[in-house]
Amino acid sequence: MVRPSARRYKQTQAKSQQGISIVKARLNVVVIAIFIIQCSVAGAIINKAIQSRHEPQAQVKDYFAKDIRRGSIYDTNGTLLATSLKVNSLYADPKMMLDVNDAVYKLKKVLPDLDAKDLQRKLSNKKRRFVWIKRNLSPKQAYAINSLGVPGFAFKQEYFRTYPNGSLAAHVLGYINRNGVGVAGVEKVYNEQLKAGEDVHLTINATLQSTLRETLAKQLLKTNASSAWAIALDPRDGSVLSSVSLPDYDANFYNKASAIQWKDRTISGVYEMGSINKTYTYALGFEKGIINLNSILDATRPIRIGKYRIRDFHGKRKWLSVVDAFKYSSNIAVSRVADELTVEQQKEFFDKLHILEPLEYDLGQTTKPIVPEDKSWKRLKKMTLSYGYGLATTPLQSVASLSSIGNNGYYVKPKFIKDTPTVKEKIVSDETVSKMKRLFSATVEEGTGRRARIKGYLIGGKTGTAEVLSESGEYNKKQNLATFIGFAPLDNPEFIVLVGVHSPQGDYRGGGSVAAPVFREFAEKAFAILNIRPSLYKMQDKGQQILKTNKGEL
Amino acid sequence: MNILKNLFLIGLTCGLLVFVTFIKSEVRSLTKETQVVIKEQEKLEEHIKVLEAEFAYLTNPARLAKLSDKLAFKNIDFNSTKPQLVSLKFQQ
Repeated sequence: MVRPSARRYKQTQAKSQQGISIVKARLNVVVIAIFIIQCSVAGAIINKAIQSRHEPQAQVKDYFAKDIRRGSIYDTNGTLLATSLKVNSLYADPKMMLDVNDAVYKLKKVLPDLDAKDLQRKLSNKKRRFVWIKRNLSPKQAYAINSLGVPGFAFKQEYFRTYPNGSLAAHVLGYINRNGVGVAGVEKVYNEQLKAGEDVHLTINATLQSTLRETLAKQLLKTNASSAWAIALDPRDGSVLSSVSLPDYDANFYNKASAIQWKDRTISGVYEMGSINKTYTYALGFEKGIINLNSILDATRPIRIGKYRIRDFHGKRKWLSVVDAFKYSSNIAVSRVADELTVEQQKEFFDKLHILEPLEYDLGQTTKPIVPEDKSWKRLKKMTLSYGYGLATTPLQSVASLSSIGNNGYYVKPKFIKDTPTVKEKIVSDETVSKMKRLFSATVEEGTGRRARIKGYLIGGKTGTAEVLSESGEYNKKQNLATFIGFAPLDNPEFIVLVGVHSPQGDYRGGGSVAAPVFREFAEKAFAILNIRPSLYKMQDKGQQILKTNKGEL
Repeated sequence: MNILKNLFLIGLTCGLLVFVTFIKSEVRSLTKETQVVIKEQEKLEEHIKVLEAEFAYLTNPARLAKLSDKLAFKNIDFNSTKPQLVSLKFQQ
């Protein structure tokens, strides 16, 4: 028999036990909750610590992303052609200005070229908190302004693009606008790489570029010509060693130049090259077996086709050997060769030489050449094309196509960037190359290109004198384009130069008188610069030693 | 037991906090050092660029050509060394 008090006690104990269990369970929940919160807090702190550990890198990245230095441009030997330097630019906070008149007075002492009235107006506008005063200050100017101690003036560091060589290769380099975006030349085409801080290395040789520019500029002034251009190319890999278009401009002050100066004639000008294009006709004639070095061509009288007459400038009025016809640049003789070719053969050959379409190269595309229409490309056109009329190409296209003769018959795509892979294709046979070298040599040794001769070296070349089309559509006899293509040294060409001088004045205005001397003067210096030794051995032509240097047999 | 367990957990959390705070302060000091080094590097790079540009300006081929003319320097005349340069293969 259980007493009631004992039962109550047991009941109470059971109840309190139950209560303790509930409290324990609740306490456990609270402990777990606290633990979870603590873990979360600890996790968050660790996470934050890890994040801050990565912060410096992120900051570095941001720092460079904001203020990244544009890549530099170098020539083939590592000479700096364009770079970006950090400079201070001055701005003002007009609201902070205590005495505008005093500030203007003091600033004018350091920067006298500033317009005081304009400055006063800018600084008096208290609504504005930022006005540019002058950008790209020299360190000396920045120091002097800082020393003035005028409140309200402050500096912003910016990158300033500079071209230490001024106008050297200005057309190739191009320039950037105020926002740092390349708008011409390498600066434009390689804008993304340069913006990312990557450097660009060109095939241009700064020393050769300067030499060619100086030589060409001298001739331009001497002949009182309107403009001139020249390209030197390495025929072995298509590297453009120098490319000059005159008049040019100082890349540091591109905005002060005129449209005439901006124009890069080597890639955007299209010209009828005149007699240097006879090279194509003779090469195709050899290639098709129409002529050989022993052939003779009738140049006794002009060729009449309808109303049109094909005449010679240096008329010999006799039958000419192929060598003589080339070296005296006979239009009649070359037309005879062209007459034996078909229009399709001519077209196909020009197509292989990439002169019928704009040339695509590593800096873009040349201007579209002016090509005869299919319906007019008949017998007469075929003949005029044979001596350089009726087809207008850019100088870059012409030098690349003509270089195939100097590169064992391989056409090599011209390139301006060192890393661009070389693209080659065989255009003419070795036999044709050998025969063409014979013709080029004869032109320089005895023909119209005598002024390109260089003592001790085998030089090959071809002159051209093309009348220029006037606005009325007729050829102007008083204005001409004097051209010369030169191979140096001819036995194993290391550079090929195409020179063009527009509208030279004076009694002698032909390619032999105006353009060939430019080649000679440039080549003489280039031999020393490139360490090219004289051509002291004879060129082999069909197993016969038929060429000699102008120093005589060795 | 529960109290001990709780104390252990609280102690562990505090330890973690101290450890994390220590790491964070280390990271901060390293960050500052890195920033100083970066600024130094930047300054040096700027100096190099300025010197490179000055060198390019001073050795501008046109300037050197003028100097060469002034000092009457001559190009190397390879003709003067002709006999030594002729390869035996081509000598007659």
